Amino acid sequence: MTTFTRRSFLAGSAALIAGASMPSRAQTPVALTGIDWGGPLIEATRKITAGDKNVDITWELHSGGAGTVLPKIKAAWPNPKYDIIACWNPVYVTMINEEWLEPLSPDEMPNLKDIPSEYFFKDKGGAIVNVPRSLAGMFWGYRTDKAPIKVEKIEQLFDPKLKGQICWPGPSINSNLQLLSLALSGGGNEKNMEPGWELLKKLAKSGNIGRVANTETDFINSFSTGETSVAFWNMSPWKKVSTNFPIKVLTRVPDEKGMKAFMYQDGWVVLKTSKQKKAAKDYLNFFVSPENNQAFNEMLGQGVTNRKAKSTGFAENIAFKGDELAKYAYFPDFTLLAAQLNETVKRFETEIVPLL
Amino acid sequence: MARRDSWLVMPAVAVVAMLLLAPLVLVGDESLRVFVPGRVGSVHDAPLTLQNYGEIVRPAYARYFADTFRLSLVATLLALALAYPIGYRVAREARPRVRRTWIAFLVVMLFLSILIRVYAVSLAVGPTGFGAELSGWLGLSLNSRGYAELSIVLGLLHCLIPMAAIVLLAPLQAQNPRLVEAARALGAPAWKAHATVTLPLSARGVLAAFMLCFTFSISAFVIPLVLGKGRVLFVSNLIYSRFGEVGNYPSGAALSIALLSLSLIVVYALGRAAGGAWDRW
Repeated sequence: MTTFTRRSFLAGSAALIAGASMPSRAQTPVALTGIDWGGPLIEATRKITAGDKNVDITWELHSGGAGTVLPKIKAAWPNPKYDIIACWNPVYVTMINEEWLEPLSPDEMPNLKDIPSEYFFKDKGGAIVNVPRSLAGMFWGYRTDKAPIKVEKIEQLFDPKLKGQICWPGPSINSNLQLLSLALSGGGNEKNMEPGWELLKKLAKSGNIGRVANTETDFINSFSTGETSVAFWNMSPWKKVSTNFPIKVLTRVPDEKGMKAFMYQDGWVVLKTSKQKKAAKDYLNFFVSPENNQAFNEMLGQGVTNRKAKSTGFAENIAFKGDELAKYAYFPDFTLLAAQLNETVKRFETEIVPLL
Repeated sequence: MARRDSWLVMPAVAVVAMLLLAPLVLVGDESLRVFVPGRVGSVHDAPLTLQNYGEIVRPAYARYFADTFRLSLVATLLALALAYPIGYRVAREARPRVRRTWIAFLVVMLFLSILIRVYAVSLAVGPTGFGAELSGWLGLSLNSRGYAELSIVLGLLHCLIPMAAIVLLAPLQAQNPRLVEAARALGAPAWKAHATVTLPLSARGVLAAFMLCFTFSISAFVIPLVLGKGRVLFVSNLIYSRFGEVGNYPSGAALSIALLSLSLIVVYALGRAAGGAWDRW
């Protein structure tokens, strides 16, 4: 029989008080530093992150394309301040080349098991290095209330009625898929971009390019003010402008080789220099759970990457069914495009800008 | 005495050497390295090359340098022409409270964020502002290269006018107004008194304002980036693209060294020419 004494009561009470005052993991979130795109993307990321009390993340924003983070990491290596980085296909390639990424495994991050294997990028050792969060597309579109003509073919971009109406992304934006779009129309591809360059010169000479946008904000401002009305951009800003203006996105254009939905995925990476790898991996596992993956992409109008989640709303524009995928979607070779970026930017500066 | 105390400047010299010259030496070294596409910057022990400089002497790049210097010069001269009367008016203001208000206004304008200025100008001269009227009046299309150049000059003026007015204030305030009164009393008309007394006495201030405005304009980055609509780019935009977007540090470094060298030559030559002219005057 257990005897209850004054001494045992005091000892038990002391243990209880000590236990209650010990901080639990949930009460002391791990500090992480991350970087994501601004605008609707960081808003959606913050909303999802609010559900994870185990981390306290200081966010920075990409200043333009995700590639702008590369020099910051390079300059600070081996002590960059970031634990996690949001980026996409071409930037994954460069980071893998630089051997900056922490290997990830479904054993540590069980939600990776629900993501199709073709969305993963692997390092030289064959380990997964990215956490895909959205499936998205880049495509042509226009403001139906402002564009002087209905655009349905690449050749219509040269129509004199579109003078100054095209918002063309800068050469380092979108991995230059806009040029690939012209190249495909002219019979080229990632290995042979010359037909694209020829068409772009013709377009620049036509005077139809009203703005060369260097950031998402440039595009949104240009479209919102009515400065331009035809553009090639990615899903999240298209969704943003479509909430205020009538927009026609050209993701299902029959018999047009150049007007495809150029598919890509964006997601997360963990830097191998992170001091909080475990917390970073736990957080990203939480981020791509079926419910969070669906909620995140619903906010952005992008496609889900988790098989157990469902794409809805604006993402319907790239939700291709059956033979639609082969007909309307295009999966670019980002490794080839990334290798050409340096030359592409120089050619744009020397051959295209003087014609604008 | 002065020579004996010269060691006092050594800490300042050391700081300048460490924070200014050392990074410049690194940039100079990077500009002479081979770049491998797909990497970030030059790889360790990359071979030496002059190719990065060879690329930027092509005629297509001369155009970017010419645009940068031409638009900077136009904006600087306009800023001086517009800021001089403001500086003169404030310097000759007899009521201390009004003068203080003017100076406070100019200082506040100086501290206004450059992003706010740029987007304010962008909205004002864009289709949502008075862009349609202005472009119609000038006979330019809203999306033309000429209109983009005009927008950049207006954006630069927004920054330069308060800057130049404040710099001009000191030499104008230091002038004795009785000198002009004496010229008038001796029969000189107002314009002649101004041209032969006020202007020569403030010439050094004008030169200082010119140097400040011109160097600010040459290195402007956000203004041409936003207002140039991607059709008119300054060399600073190319440098950012090389370092920030492409990861081609060697090419970015070569552009930086070329811009720095050209700027120093132009500023030195203009300063020397203007200084000599005013001395003879």
